[in-house]
Amino acid sequence: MEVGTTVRWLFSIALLIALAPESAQAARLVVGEEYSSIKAAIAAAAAGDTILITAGHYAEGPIHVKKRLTIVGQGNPVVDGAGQTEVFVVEADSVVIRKIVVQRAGVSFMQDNAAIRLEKVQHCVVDSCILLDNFFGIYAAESAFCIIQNNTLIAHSVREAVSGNGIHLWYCKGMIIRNNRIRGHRDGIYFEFVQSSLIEHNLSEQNLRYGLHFMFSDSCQYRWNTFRRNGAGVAVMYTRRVLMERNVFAYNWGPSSYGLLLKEISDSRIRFNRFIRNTVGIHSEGSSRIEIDSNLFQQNGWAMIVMANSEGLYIHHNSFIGNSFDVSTNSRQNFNRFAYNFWDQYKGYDLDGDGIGDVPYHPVRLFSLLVQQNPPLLILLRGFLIDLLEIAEQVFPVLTPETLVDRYPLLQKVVF
Amino acid sequence: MSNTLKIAKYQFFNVLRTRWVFVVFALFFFLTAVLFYFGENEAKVLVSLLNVTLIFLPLLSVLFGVFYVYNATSFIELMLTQPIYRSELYGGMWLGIVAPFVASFVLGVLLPFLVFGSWAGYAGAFGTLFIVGTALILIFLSLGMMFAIFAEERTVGMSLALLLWLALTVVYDAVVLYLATVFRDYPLEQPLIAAMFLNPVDLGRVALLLQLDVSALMGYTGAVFREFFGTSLGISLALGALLLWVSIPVFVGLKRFAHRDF
Repeated sequence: MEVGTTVRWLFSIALLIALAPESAQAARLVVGEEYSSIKAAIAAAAAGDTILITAGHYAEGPIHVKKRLTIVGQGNPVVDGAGQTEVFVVEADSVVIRKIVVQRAGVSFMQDNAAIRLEKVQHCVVDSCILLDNFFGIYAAESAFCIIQNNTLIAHSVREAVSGNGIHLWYCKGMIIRNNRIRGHRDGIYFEFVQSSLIEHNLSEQNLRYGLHFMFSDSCQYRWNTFRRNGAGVAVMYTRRVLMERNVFAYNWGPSSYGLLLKEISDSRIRFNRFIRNTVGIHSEGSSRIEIDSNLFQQNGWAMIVMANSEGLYIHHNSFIGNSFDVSTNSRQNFNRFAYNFWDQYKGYDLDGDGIGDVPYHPVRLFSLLVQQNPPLLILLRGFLIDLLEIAEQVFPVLTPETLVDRYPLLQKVVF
Repeated sequence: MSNTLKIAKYQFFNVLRTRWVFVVFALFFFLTAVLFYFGENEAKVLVSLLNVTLIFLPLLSVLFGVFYVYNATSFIELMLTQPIYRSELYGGMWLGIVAPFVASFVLGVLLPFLVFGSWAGYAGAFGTLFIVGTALILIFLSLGMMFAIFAEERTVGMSLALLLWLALTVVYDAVVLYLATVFRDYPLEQPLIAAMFLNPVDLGRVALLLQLDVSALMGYTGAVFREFFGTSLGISLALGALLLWVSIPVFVGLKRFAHRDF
């Protein structure tokens, strides 16, 4: 036989094996017909089987999944923790849970009860589930390469102390969190010690504390997410190599609420995001070497607050439109670079017509410093006196940081 | 009462002839139109209008109030020989001055806005701008008339008017800023709210801030202001304060006018 024919034969056989109907080996166990409870079906199942849960109400306490199973709901079956226990505990690799309504995982001060807990597993999938009024929604610990997608998590938390996080990851890597909607939890998405994960197309809103909250979670990417109306916005801390792009941070209003709070974040990139109507767009504290470019800051109280312990931030090609304050800081020292941004409060001119203003723009206003030192003075905002002081300060700066300057202010807003 | 309206009607057309109202109309019309024409969004237009409304509108109003009464001295003397009450004459003059001023301000902003602007999301802000502008016109015209009634010397009346304008737009804020800095260790929110009530320009500014800078005002201190001015109690109190600011100079001026020798 020719080599080519052999290869073709081998390929065909491989294809046959791959496409062979799984029912040949794997059984399908139907809960609601042959099995009255999910636990019974799981006990009877072998690895590789599929458990089909038909429509119904299953008040079952902790369901431990210790075999490689695919658990699928049909007609929105409700699995109820009855406010007492956790519900699904996945302890085997490659488990798939789809299309199930899980509700009322119980509030506990001793353990983090979750609707679905992934415990030391790999390659699991949680897909298209609806999680209602759970303490924690999806809780993954020491797991890797799992996919959490298309889920809806809704809770009605009122107090931080008795509420849990929506999607909570602890010591994970290579996770994909995609297209979930999270509302009313404590933190929408919470990461601690998570590596190299992808978070995209999620909507996290109206959570009690943060829409997104992560610490010590290096090399993760956040794309196309929306974080809005969360109690304290988004706070990310102690992390390197973060990529955040095309997210929306909106309507995070409050005294300690931030569109995006960066605390000791380094070597990261933040671009193409929209910060709209937040009390503070980006608040940077102790962060370093971050490229913040091509973002839109619109109608925020403070577009950016850059504390003087931040260094090596390169802020360019952003558009600042309709903010009460563009940039505020707490010192005359500045170790960051602003260039090529569009500032709608810029009053300069462009004689050579290259699209870059000929006069530098100083985004830190005197009044923002006064308010920083004495917050109630905010009530004098936009007063005639303040405008006069502002002009005097521009002519002869004594308080504002002279080096915090955009020498190449754009005349047109950056479109992306 | 019909005497008041007759005088008001006569004054109205007389005021139209003075060109002052056209200055006000042209100022707001061209400013608004030009800002829209150069592609500014509604928020930016509002900020620019805010500055003009809070600074120039009071100045024009108070100066016009003073001027007008001085220029109308012979008219007043003539009218006083007629069998009408002095209060009718004063009220008629007041109405006849105020109405064209308010109309030219409102139309000056409204016309270009109707052509270029969009109400979506800004109706509240523009509504507030109209209320604040109208209130400031009423207040400062009344104050101007009052000064002119009190001071027989033209220069004295003018100086008083200018001084008051300067005091309310700049000096007052400077004093507030100074005191707030001296007493920064104390809770300042309530005293500052009270301070805003004592100055109609500040009161108008804060009302507009609540529309324009809501994101900033949701910060720690701002939330206190917002909670106060955002409630119906706060709004009623603010409107009441503005009303008081109109009625006091009107009544004081009228009282003086009723007894003054011409």
